[in-house]
Formats: sequence, C-alpha cells, structure tokens
Amino acid sequence: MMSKQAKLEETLRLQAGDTLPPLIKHITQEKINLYAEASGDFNPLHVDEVFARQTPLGGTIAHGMLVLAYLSEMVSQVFGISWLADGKLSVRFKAPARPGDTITVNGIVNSLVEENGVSYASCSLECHNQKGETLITGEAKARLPQ
Amino acid sequence: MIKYEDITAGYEFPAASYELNAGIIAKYLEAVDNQDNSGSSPEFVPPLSIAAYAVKASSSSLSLPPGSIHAAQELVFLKPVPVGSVITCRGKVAKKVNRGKMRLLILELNVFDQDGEKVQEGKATIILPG
Repeated sequence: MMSKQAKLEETLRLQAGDTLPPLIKHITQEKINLYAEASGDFNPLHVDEVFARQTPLGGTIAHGMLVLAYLSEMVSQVFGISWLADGKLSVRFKAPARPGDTITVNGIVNSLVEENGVSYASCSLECHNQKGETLITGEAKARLPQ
Repeated sequence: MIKYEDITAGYEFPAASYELNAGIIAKYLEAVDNQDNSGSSPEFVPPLSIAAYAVKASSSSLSLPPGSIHAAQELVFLKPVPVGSVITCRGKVAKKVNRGKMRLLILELNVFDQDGEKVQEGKATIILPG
C-alpha cells in the first residue's frame, strides 16, 4: 500500500529538496514606469530619477510588489491554478531591485505535508540580483493539484 | 489623506473597488513581463495584481514620509478570480509601533469579490525612517 508521503510525491512528482525551475527577469526603468501605471503607485522613489538620486538609495528602485510578482509567477508555473485557489506567500524585502538588474528567482521544496486531507508543498524562495545580493527571501505554501 | 502621526491601530482606510477587466490585466501582465500569464490561465487574474490593488487602496489614502520602506508582505490566496470581476479592497492598521527610532506600520488587507466572498488576505509591513 502506498504511503501518504508517496501519494503526495506521485501527485506532482515533487520531493523535498527538489528545486523549482528558476525564473530570470531584467529590470528596466521602462518596466518600473509600466508597473507604476498598472498599479497606480507613482512613488517618486520608483519613477523620478532626479528625486531618487538625492535620497540614500541613490537612484530609482523597482516596486517591491513588482519583484514579488516574479516569485508568484515562478510558483504559479509549477502549481498552476492550485496556487491561485489555495496559496500562501510570506516574504521579506532585503534589498531593492534597480534598473539594469538581472533578477533570478529560485525555489526549493522543503516538505510535502497533508492538512485536513489536502496536500501542500512548502517551499523556500529567494530572489537575487546579478551581483549575488539577496533581494527577497520567503516561503510559499501551495496546494498540490488534485 | 491621513498622516502616519494621526493614524492609530484599528484605523480603517476607505474601501476601494476595482474592475479587473481584460485591458487592465493585460496592462498589468505587460508591466510584470508575463504577457502570456504563464502558469495560470487566461481566464483568471494573476493574484499579485489583486495584491497590488489591495496595497494601493490603503497607501493611496496614507501619507508616509519619504524613505518609507515596504519591508515584508504576507499574502493568502483563497480562490481564483476571473478576469472581469469587481474586487473590493479593505485595509486597516493592524499595528503601529512608535518606539524611539523604531517606527513601523502593519497593514491588514482583505479583498472581496462582487459576491462578497473573500478572495485574498494579507499583511504589509512598512518601516518608516526614524
């Protein structure tokens, strides 16, 4: 008889320790401006290069929610609509993404668990730039597709 | 517009409703460089677009000093939201810390669909300059 753990792994063929396919994105000021228009967040730290240069940040930065969208996209590529229906995301923003940065999002499956008859994958997520600086760390918990 | 100094824990921001029509979602997907909405389905909106509107609903009526930082974010996705849905975003101040140089706000965000069903909830932590 197949164990619960084996059933979980069979569902998506995921195991603890598996890595999620990484996602790579390039940040440009044009994309930041597009995101400002789409989200309605025109904070000058994001869109006003003259203003942002005079702040301790030294230049414009991408919206945290823009970079967070990349993490969600990566998780969504693995778990599909299950992620939209029953997903949890918890992150800390460690450093800003800037125009010119190449962002890589990585994820690893920490564990597969069953709660009230529903199977979930718990994953660690990390986002870093081309210099290896960590921009975001966090956790995602996604329901495994039935 | 309310200032950080005037805000207290429990303060509720004015609710804001948005129609997530195909044009708005296409613009969002272009902005996040995911035009084909990969991993999801064209009939559903990306969950982070909802989160973006939830944050906007609160932050647009809150005046924070320059240098304020979005330090952490928690999100719970409760159901897929079809393109064309009307969402209502409600935000309130869950916690305000003003201790010495430490100043932060934790905002609680809840999003409902047109049937009044909760589709997303979350918390945003914002650190203000000391």
